[in-house]
Amino acid sequence: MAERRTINTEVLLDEVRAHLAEGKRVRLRVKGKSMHPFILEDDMLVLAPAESLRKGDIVLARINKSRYVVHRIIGITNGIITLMGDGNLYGREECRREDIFGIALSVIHNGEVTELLSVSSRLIASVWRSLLPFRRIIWKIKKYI
Amino acid sequence: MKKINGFVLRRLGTEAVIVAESLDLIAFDRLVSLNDSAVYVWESLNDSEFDSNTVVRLLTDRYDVDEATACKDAGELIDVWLRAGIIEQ
Repeated sequence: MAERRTINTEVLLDEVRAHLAEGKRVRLRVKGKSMHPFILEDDMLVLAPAESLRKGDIVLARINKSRYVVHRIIGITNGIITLMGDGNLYGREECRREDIFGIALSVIHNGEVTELLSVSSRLIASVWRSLLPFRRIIWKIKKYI
Repeated sequence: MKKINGFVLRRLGTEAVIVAESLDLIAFDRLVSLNDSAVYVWESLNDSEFDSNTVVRLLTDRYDVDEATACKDAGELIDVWLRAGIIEQ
């Protein structure tokens, strides 16, 4: 009667999206490593409905009406919002405002809460992003070692 | 025993799961999946107090199982739910 089951991520995130649309906050467990080092696999993330957005926000978005991502906004130009995972070296996604359903308020790692909208969190993330060219070089060097 | 306030049965696609809900926060980080018979027990219990006999009775009333099997299933189910923190003594 009590077997362990897994829930399809898309189905779960459809449900998350519905609750965000109702104005509720949602807490969920993170899968994947694309937001490393700020959000790690198995961390818990608190999302709220996305009312206003700006560069540096981490958002739940649907890309090409299919897959969901929780990535950071790295640019907003003429209604096109560009996202990128903090842990990614190259991959970017583009979407529109209506494809963004939630904004990440905080992350909980081993019981410790980090506010993601705070000035310090934004500053650290911005420094991390400015190091992207160096991270790419280090990644290339590592490939040859 | 009784259910802990705030845990609600929801359907996610084909799966039935227990989700923690408060006034403005829904917690999807600790989902407890239920199979059909567990859904039946959870829904039948409502918000009333229950013990393992209540669960055994629900199972034997609904399914073609002997008392011993129902006792074993009820014990397992209550154990899982207690460990998941969705019911309390």
